[in-house]
Amino acid sequence: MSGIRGKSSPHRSVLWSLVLLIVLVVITVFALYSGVAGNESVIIWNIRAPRVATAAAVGAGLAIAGVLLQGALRNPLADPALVGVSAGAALGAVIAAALGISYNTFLSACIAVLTASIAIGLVLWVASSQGRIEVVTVLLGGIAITAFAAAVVSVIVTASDLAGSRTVSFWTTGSFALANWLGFVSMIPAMVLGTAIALAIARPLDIFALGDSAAFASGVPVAKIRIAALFAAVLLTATGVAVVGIIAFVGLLIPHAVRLLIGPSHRALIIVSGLAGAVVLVLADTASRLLLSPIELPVGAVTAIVGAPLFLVLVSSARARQGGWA
Amino acid sequence: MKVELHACGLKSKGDRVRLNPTSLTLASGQITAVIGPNGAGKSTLMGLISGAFKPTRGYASLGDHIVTETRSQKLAQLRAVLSQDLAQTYGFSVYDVVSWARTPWRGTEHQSKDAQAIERALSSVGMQNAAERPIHQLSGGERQRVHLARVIAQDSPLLILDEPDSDLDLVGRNLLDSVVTGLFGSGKTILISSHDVNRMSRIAHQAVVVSQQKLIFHGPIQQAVTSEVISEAFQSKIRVQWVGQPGAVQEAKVTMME
Repeated sequence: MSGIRGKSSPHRSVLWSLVLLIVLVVITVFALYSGVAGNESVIIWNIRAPRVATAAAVGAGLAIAGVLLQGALRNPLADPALVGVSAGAALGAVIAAALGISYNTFLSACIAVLTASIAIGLVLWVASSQGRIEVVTVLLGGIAITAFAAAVVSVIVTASDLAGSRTVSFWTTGSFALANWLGFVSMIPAMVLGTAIALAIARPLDIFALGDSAAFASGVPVAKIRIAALFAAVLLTATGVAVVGIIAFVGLLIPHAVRLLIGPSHRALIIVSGLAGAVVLVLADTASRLLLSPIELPVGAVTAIVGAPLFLVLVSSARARQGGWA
Repeated sequence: MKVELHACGLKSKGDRVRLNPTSLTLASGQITAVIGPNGAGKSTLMGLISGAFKPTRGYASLGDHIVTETRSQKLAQLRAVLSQDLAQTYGFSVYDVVSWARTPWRGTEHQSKDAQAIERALSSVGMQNAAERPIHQLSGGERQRVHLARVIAQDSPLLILDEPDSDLDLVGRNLLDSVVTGLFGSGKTILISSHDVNRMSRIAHQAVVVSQQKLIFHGPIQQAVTSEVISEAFQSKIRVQWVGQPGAVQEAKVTMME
């Protein structure tokens, strides 16, 4: 009897965590020091360091938010930018700025969290039917909310002197160029809280795989866990968007890649995806600075050029596996 | 544990009746079969007892607990459910899936029995050698056995099995029947629905017969599975004959007339 084994082995996730951590350190050092003549510590510590730290935190936040949304909505195509959370957050930061609240502040981050919560609340309200959340309707609702929020952002940015210090394209493609220590600090409380919630609900999220009614029958408070997961995803996304704009595909693709490496168990998925998200965005930001230097590319364009084709592959394989999704 | 419905009924949106107000007390420590045609309200009746559905009239109770007012963890200590609407699960091992059944016992003294309960449940359905296999690689019948093991590992006094035989072949159904009989032997109260009235007559002690959203009979299986009751339930001419010696296992033969 004692011969029965089969619990997922944690070894692979520990190994991948270490690998990603080492890669993160290496590219961080490269991002900090590349092209700096001699030892110009002002450039390194006041411009580059906050930028790298912000990219790492935003990447980790987006990837963990993607894990949470995909698990809680049982939707392989969920991503903060696709379900309307990111655009909702951008709208909040812009409204706050128009009202005189500076960018990269804690108050700006709080308002972004509020508007992003409203956005996902609206999407779920549209997509819920008799206790079931429909995969396609979530994405359609996300498209509508994103279009609406982006339109209002462009109106406010055009009309308001205060909000207009950041352009429309800053919000739609994202950039780390305006990252500073103040902005980094403004998002840390939400990032820490969001990650803590994510780890606390990791096991019930595994059980969500059975479907709502079987998860409930196994003792999981399904509605509470789902709301906690969505709120954590909002915390992890919105505060980053308020500082750097909307960066698509990171939250969607990283959880899928990591699942291929270490399996679907959420505790490991959250940790390894967080590290992978940090690596990918620090790398993408460094690439956006150096590829056509001295011209700087928008980082969201870099992630989309790589991410959009991968997204098509993902849609096609997920669709084949599930036989479509109504 | 006393399992009861108190004038408990459900109307869905648009005033469609899913189950008329029903009162019954399940026989504790016995196997009760839920019998009736498609759409008669079998799943609704079981869902009201399990808490999957909130009644629009009356209430269901498990022991001292009113189902809709009980926290999900406590509820899962009292009853386990095998339902028909399981989602496809990818990547997790058989052991992982069965271990989820131990969720209600987290933070209690029963948590120390987790490994033992999981292993025993896997062995009882003959899946002890498949513990490490990814669940999506199993056949439909094997998956159904894993989910049966999951429900057994939950180790609650009441088991609600909604058509657990739907994906099982002949051998699987025989295994299911012996597993259910074994659970009865360990003192569980079992509520099981099936379209196979012949088999139910062999393993169940009691029957709940529903037809057209109404309870039409509740009592010993020999009195439930009769030509009169079954014909009324299925709105057809059906003949029932009980065979087998008194004292030995008896079984009903159900045949459609004309």
